[in-house]
Amino acid sequence: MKKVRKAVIAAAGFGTRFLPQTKAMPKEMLPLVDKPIIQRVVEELVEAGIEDIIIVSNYSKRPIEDHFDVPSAELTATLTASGKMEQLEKIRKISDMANFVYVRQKQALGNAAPLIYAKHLINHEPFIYAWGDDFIDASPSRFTQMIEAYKQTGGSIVSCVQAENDEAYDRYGIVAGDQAGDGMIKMTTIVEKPGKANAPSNLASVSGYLFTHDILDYVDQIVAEYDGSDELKIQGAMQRMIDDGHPFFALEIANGTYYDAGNKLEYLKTVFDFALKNPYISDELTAYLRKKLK
Amino acid sequence: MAQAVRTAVIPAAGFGTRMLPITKSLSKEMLPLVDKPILQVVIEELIEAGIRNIIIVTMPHKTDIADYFGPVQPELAALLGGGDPAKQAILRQLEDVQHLANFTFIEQQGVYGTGTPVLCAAPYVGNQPFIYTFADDFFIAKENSYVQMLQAYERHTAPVIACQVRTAPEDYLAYAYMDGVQVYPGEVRVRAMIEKPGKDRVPGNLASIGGFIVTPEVLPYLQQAKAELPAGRELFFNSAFDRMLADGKTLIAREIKDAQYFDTGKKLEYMKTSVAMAARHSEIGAEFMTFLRDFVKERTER
Repeated sequence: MKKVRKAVIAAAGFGTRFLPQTKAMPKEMLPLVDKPIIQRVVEELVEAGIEDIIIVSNYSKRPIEDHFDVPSAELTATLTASGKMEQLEKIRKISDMANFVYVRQKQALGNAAPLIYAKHLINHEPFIYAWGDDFIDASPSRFTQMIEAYKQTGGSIVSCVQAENDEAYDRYGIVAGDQAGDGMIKMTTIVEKPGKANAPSNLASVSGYLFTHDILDYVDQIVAEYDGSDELKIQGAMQRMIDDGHPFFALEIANGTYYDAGNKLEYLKTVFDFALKNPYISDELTAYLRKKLK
Repeated sequence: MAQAVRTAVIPAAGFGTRMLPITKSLSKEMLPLVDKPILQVVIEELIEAGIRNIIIVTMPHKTDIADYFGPVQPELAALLGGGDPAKQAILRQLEDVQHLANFTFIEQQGVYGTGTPVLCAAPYVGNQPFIYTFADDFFIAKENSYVQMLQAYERHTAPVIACQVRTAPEDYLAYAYMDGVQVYPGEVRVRAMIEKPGKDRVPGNLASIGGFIVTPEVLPYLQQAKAELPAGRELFFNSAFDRMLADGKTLIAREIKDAQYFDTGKKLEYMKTSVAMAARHSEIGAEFMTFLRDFVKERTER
């Protein structure tokens, strides 16, 4: 079994739900207090043993590249002059977290499109496919749990959470299949937004996948047959792969909270969750909020 | 007679190191308050007060501010310009950002300190009064804080220092305090400004917080302060005021009334400001406050 060393992060969206803020900045760079969301995703990948991180972006995403680069000479000089060496070291380390590779998405066809442009970098290895603006805060981390499940099964792994309300059935893909151990379903299908009445299970697919490299052949297939009438969806490639007998498992991430920073309200909730976990500001902020909410 | 004030100068040449790591590649002025950059909040306040020209003093390579206040990228415009009326409305809103004011971007050159941006921008302002205000702090006031400052300027035709009453022990070590006589309710003719006086030396309770109205008369004093600046020192804008006071010139401290001051330059303050702006947000304000209430309650019970 090949080790999981690579990850692809899709970061080519326009972030229209965050306008006007995202007029000239990537939504993946929105701060969780003081750290961009995408750094949170990268840290988690690295912690799970990922070495190569391929970010599929577009022309407007340069701040992402700058963020994972060494700090600029000007910033380095400023921090050095003011004796902030610890801070300098901290931001320098960001560039050493992984091997970062950037490719451009040339056409925004749908959520499978980034893989067209990352394919030549995967090299017949299993890989994680994640988004730059959502994550599950879990212990151990969701990617660690996914890699563990891959080691057990050798199959592709779909990260899932329990649908927390009726709305979730209208918003996410719901997985169907046979129970295959604790918190795991061997998938027969994934139904997009079935609604609660027609949902085959209560597990919603969110926030990323671990694919064996076969997925790339199936992406090729759906691309070859693509007629432009709908989005090019990764779920289409996944279903063909399942139908051909490749093992696919839905994994309920244990001890986790799912954060979808994809719209204004959810983003803000995420920010405050993180602010109140930040040891430097948590106590004072809690006191402030208590006073304000009286 | 007082000249109309139509121009504002905003310094934005800092590195925002207190907000790292996010400011490694983003300007601190461009961090979001819910869904719009901090700087836009400041600029909207200025525009409401009649400002039409905005000069932003930035540094080389810092392009995100000019990108934001410039035209919409054609790719984004194409994406939003389709058939969806909601998206078209957003596109119009984005296109309007560049027309909020006449924007000028200049690069800061010269020594560190709050005086340098003024000297960099002065040639572009001409012989007119202007507002000098920072890019990461602002007041939410019953009456626009810049309007309050402009009223004081019109009454006295003199430079104005925005102030608030501050009496916490740590404030005495953080701000410049005003010594002077009241010449109008909430307006003081300044006799002396005492920088970080400490509790024992504080001359009154008015602290300089927020921006200034700068008249052409101030500039020679600032130039003089620069000429006499010892090597390696910062050029503080207040050093011009100190020289004017020594020369017997009029300076007015104006207390900004019915106002709450927000400073986004530090993590905790940035979060507090985010709460205030989220609460006022038309789309998500109510829902967010419900979330926050439950959240705090849960933490209290734990």
